[in-house]
Amino acid sequence: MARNSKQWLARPDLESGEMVDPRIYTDEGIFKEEQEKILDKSWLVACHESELPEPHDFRTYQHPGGHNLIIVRDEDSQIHAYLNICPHRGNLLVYEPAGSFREASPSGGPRRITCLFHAWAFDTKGNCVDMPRRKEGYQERVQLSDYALREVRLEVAYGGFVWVNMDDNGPALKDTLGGSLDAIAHTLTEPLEVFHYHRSIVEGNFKMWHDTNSEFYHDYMHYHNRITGMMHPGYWEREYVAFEGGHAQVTDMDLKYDSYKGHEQRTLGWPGLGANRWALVDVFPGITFNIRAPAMRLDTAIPLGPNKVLIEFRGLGLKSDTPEERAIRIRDHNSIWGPFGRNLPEDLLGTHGQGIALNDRTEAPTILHARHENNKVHDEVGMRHFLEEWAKRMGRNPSDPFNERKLAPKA
Amino acid sequence: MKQMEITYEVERQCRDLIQRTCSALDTLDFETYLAACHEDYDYAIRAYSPEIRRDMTWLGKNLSSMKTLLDMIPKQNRDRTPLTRHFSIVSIERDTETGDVLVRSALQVYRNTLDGGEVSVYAVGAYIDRIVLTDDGARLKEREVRLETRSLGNGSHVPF
Repeated sequence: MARNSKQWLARPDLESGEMVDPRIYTDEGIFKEEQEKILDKSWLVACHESELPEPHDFRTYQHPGGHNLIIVRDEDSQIHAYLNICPHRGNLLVYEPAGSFREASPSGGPRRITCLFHAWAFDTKGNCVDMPRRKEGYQERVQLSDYALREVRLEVAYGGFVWVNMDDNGPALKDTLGGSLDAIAHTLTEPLEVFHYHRSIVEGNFKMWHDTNSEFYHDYMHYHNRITGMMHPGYWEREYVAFEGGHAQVTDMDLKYDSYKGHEQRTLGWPGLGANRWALVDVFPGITFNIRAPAMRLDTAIPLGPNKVLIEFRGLGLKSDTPEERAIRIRDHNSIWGPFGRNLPEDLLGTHGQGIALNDRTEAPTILHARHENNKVHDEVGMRHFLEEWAKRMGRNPSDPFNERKLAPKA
Repeated sequence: MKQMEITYEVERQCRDLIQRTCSALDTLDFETYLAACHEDYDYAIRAYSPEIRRDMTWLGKNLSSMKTLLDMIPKQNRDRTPLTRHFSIVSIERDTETGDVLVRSALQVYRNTLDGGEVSVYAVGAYIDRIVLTDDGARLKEREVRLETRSLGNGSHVPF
């Protein structure tokens, strides 16, 4: 029998950690707090080193804490991150998503980051090197040395990814990962290269997207995954391994691509993974390393608001690929994970649907994270583990974020 | 040479063919779409990414693999928002070696929401087509969909 409002909104008879108040996905205040307590204090992937291969190359990054960053390779090939803002009058220093400072710009000389507004110039190490007519205007009150760029902590690690952290005082990257990426270190041994980039903006919360990457129960949605995965015994042996810090690995399996009509025979593997193998690690708070040999996909979620997330999708191959190998990886990657693939659009549709449904102001239901299957592939321990870390950082209970539990008695 | 001229009749055949492929995909009439393709069909969706400064191939199909992809669509959960493909021929010329007709068209793809019929531009780009004129009519031998739009929301199971 269908339920009335009171029955519908009553808390399920489950443990606190097995359910989630829907408002953690939609509340504006919680999102602002997440920016402060999680996003501004976490190591996030801004790009891959192959996106700025030469000295003076740059890439921009829209940090989900609300910061615009420039990632720059300096003249000594060291990579830095700076706030993309001129300390003079707060204009963007760089407008394009990628490029090089090698050549002169309309406002400034070569090898300089020059603000187009008033031509303040900086070198790629972040030093302020020129303020036009400085002495005439500022006399001795403003010195170049006081106006360097704001450098943001950066590490290049785990496959050449460029990680940034807005928190000057937090732990090093390795100390926050809890060993999660060490679990797939054998797959990240060779220099990688990005061959694919696209983004999707979804009217949904970033945790919804990470949830989808953190549970495989939704494979029922994907015809492709049912045929190549669920129909085969190895699928049910996949297991979640939780790592301190809210990260989780799903152990790898052999996919049966030949079960899917039209899939080409795969013979090309990936370092540490044979052909057809699939390995995955979800990194808190919104990064997923996802390798289906012969291609790798990296998701980075950039929350734009409580109900809007920009997701960057990168496809990677090996820097040493022959043209033939690269073509295979590209074809394989995009047949599943491209904008016209047989898997990714369905996952995005799921998050889109959640974004609409959970924005019900008064009748959004309690969300279940309650599957227990000995940590096997349809267990929801990945999502629960994520929320344990979320709770620790936020100081809030995901199932009762506003301490109202007494207002909603059990069913 | 006379046989290399683009006559009104050649242009009309090409225009009809391109329109047929658009309408067929719009209405999910995949049989008609595949019938418009040459046996050596070569299809690709490509875009340039200013973010990674690389050209990308998002989908590559021949006639057989395109047929398989289209045959499987009814089995897949997907966004069912109708799409309308609109093209405008920009240039048309003859390949002097093969006699094939090379047609470049501006492409716009519109979404028309099922709930309310709100129309928005989904994608812009170009069709770059190689068309073979046979005794049985024009056939699409190559199509490159060159997209300017790179943010496609949830993406699309049905090619452009």
